[in-house]
Amino acid sequence: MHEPAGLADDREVRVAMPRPAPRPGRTRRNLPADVWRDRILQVARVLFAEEGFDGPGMEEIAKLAGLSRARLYKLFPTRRDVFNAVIAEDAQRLGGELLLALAQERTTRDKVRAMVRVFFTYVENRHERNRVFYATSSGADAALGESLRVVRTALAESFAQHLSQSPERPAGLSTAEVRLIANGVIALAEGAAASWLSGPHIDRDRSVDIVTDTALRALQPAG
Amino acid sequence: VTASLPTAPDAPSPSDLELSGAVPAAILDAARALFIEGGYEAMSIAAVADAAGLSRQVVYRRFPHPRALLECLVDRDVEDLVDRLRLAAPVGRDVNSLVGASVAVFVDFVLDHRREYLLLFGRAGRAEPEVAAILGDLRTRLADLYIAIFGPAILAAGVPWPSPAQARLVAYAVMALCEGVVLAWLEDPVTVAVSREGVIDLLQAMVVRALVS
Repeated sequence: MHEPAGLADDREVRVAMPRPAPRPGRTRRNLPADVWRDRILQVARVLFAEEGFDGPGMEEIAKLAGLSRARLYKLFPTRRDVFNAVIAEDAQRLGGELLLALAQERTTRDKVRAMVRVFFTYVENRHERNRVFYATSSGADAALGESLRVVRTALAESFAQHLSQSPERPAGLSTAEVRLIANGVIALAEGAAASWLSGPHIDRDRSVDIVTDTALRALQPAG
Repeated sequence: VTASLPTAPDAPSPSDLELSGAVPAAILDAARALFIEGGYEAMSIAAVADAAGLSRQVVYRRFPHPRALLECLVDRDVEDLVDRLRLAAPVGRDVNSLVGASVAVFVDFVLDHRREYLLLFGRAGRAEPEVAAILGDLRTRLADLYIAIFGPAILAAGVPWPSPAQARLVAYAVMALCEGVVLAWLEDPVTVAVSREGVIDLLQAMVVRALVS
């Protein structure tokens, strides 16, 4: 109860005795570029989430991040670059979770289920929190898809390695074929999650079960 | 005064072309060539008009935006794919032969449209919002088509019929599986060792097990 009042007082005092705001960037000019990068992306993430891709201008981003426009443009030549960097961060986080899920589980069944769950949870959270941000027109999905390319390769490698060592590995498959299978299963999990909310609604846990079972059936050794 | 103005002698009037149906084909062929060469960005209305030897006005009238052009291109390809599927997978066959035929059609379709396919579904398709939106619509249409083709055969194989929502989710999952395998086959240097027949056999086995085991 005390704190809000304190904040209000503080604001009133500031209004009563305005001080000139420090010129953007002046006091922090010597911060390293990656610290600026983090600040910019932190601010931009909130602005894009609130206003969509067409919302914040570079000027607004610069002002809230506390740096000059010149410096902002030096780090990110266009607004699309800021946007894509925010998305790339998301992809990195998602990729980290996927690789962790894959590494933590032991059996094929558990690995597939964990991977499917991460994809669906991601789609669900992002749908609830960032509806504007991820509206189709913003191109967030497209930018995310591109950023996920690196993640997909790493995932496919890890999963193919597991499959080729697992006792369920079908006899007579080459390394290349196992790799194709691994890519197919990852695409299956991602593709099903991506289209999940565009179709008639099935709740998340049920969807995870359906997709996991479909993937595991596809993975069964022939015969 | 207007009547005395000379008309441009170099091109047939737009309405003649539109009536003859020549406009869409010429425009689409030019657009396809530009798309294959430089991706969606290269497919501006002005560039398409120049390449087709038509005035920009004529192209704008038919296609107010490059997105409409790309939709039309994708439509033409999808019609091609659907025709091939209908021929290869007539109603009444069992799941295994239906899946085998459909997978072969899909793989050959991708090989015939290799560069376009990679642009659409690969790097450019994922990076370009307009292309991604068109792909979203395309997948919805294909999911419905596959459910119509495979549904009766799956039912005949004794698998209980799922709810429409569940059928759609499985259709999306299986489509993504096929796309993922074919894309990896085309893009990943490790997997080029697998032959066309090898990819078809592998996908057929996976899809059949996913659908009816």
